[in-house]
Amino acid sequence: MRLIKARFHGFRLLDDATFKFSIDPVKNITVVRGANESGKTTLLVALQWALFGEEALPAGYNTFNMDLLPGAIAETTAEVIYEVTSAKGVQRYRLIRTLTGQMGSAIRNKSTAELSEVTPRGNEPIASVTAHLANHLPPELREVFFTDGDAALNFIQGRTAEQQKRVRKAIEQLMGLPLLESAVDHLKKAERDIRAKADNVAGTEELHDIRTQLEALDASIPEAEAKQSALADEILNLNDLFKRADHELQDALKRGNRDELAKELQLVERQQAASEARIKATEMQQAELIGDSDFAREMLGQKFKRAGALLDDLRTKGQIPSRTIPVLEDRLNQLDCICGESLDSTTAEGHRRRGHIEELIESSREADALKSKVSDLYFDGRPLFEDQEARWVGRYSKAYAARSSEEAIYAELGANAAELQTRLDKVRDNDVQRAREMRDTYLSQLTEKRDEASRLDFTLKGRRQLRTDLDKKLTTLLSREDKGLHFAAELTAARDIRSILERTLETMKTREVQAVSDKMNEYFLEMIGSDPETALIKRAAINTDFRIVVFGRNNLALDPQEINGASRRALTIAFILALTQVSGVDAPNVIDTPLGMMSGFVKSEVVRVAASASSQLILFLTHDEIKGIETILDAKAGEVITISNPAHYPRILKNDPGTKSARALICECNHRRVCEICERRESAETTPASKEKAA
Amino acid sequence: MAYKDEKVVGILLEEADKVEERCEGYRGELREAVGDIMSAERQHKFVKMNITSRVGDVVGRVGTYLHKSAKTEA
Repeated sequence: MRLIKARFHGFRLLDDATFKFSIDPVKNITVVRGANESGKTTLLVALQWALFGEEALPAGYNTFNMDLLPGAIAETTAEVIYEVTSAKGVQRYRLIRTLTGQMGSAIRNKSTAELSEVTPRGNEPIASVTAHLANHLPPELREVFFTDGDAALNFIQGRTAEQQKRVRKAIEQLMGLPLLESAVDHLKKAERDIRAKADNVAGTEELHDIRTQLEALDASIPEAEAKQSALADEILNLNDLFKRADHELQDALKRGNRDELAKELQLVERQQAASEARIKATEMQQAELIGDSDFAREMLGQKFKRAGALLDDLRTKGQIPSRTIPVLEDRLNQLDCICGESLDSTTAEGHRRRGHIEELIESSREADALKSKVSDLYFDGRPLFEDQEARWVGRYSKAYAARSSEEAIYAELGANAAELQTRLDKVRDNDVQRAREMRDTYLSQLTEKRDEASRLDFTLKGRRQLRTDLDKKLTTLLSREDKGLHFAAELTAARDIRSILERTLETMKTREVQAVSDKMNEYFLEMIGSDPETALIKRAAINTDFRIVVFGRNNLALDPQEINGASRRALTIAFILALTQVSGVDAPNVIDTPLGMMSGFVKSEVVRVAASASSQLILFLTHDEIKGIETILDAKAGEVITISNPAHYPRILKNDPGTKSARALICECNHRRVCEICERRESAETTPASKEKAA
Repeated sequence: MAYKDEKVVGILLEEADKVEERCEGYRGELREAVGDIMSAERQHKFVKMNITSRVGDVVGRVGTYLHKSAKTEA
């Protein structure tokens, strides 16, 4: 199906608004350019309403023009021309949908739709409009073919169970699995009817008993399957909650337990005190080195050398050490002089001599005090005057290094203590405990549910096996009697047909889902330009649980929410394109604002890949989204129109549109042109060079 | 049907060929029956009808074919 033209009247902002869509297979992109709040999303809803009716409208959505006063009779009309390629060739159709109602009324009327085939003979009305439309574009595919960039993100974000449900539903709907499932259900009913008939005809107790058991199993198996499915959802949700609680616990543990942190802080403070004492010791050592003889000798070495020479000279001359006074005193004690004369005080001569010696002692005493000091200096100062290896600088460097090192340790301990104190201030008393309790609660619930699922799985297997056995037994019983043979043949046929449908379902769920997964991966990697050697994102896949997952280096699974915004959007668009491609359904991909958060390479690749994967690509883009993809649009866009909201004057629009009504203005300006209607202040101010006035 | 018909039909036929040929032409009957059932299911989405009865008729047809063939072969 390809859209050719759509015209809307009285649909919110869209009044007498006509849109042409490109059906050129080479230039298959149609761009509707418009600022936010100019009517792009309204157009997305309007197209869906036209094709699918009220079911396509968001809850409480009012289609009527907003300028109408309450109580006024309002009418909304949509006219869509589209074509479908079938075995008969290309057929063109015209669909008109109309809704009449009263503004402000709570009563929602149902729209009416008319469908006709456009033929050379004129328009030929079609009776069963809904059935025909559904064949041309199945309603269950609406949300896949008509989407917006934000809504598409729901395939990869939110609760895991919800993501899986959305992905599963999209895949199943697109592949028509509900139709096959419905056929399986009807076959089961047919089997029950055959059994009932056989029971009536045969009338044996054993057959009746088997039939009753089979009836009970037929009722209980779907019930158990539904319970199993609900349990699987519960397990997924609990798993999400458990993981989150576990992360919170890990975070809390990183922040630390309050008691442990307090103990750690105490220890660090003790270490700090010890370090402080060691710093003082190293300071003392340094101070002692300043008073050390090595320091004196190495600082005053030359002067000491000269002093030593002088003292040596004095000693050579006999001037030091001083021995005059002790010798004279000794003579006085000996009573004879060194010259041999008597010093006996009882004699006059001796007395005189003693007096002379005593005078000599007295006169020498002053000079000897100085000599004594010089002598001390001579003897005590010898180590200073002698040449010795310089070692003080080495000792001082060592002491300085020891002190610096200790000071660094002290500073580090201080920083550590400050950090601990900060963490301690942040940690609430029960953070870790609360997080652990939460995690353990979820883990306990998870284990309980898993056990329950395991038990249910076992029960279901048993019931299915019993059903198969009873089925065979019933057929065998029927085959024993002529009147039962026909029913046995019917039951065999029903089982065979059912098995074909069930295996087809299974094949489509596995093989075709794998095909969607592979295609999605191919598109996604093209879009993000992933280099097999260097890229951080290696591949994307849909796993057996219908979850979209991304793999990084070393095949490490990443939650899609961990990747950047542009890649996330690219991934969801790749998924939608893959679905539509694998399904083989020929329908337009209509995407509102798909390029948000994208720039450069990824943005242009998304458009390029989407254009090549779609039979018809209709993009609603803001001016910002168009920036950077103009060249691709030059080559691939067969139709580009611009939509403006007069309410944007003068804030955004540069020229007065001459109306204030809530009605979108449409012009034929493409992605490189502006006219009086659509010229924007931003475009006029920021890109004057690129401005090319429309004729 | 949403999914491209040829693909579904292809898989249905593929699976029909795996069923035991209980009597001559049985698989052919099954293929036809599956096609009829899917067609009825598609119509049922838009046209009010007793789908269980329609499916039962198709099953009855195949069952009768199997029963008659078995009797003939016997």
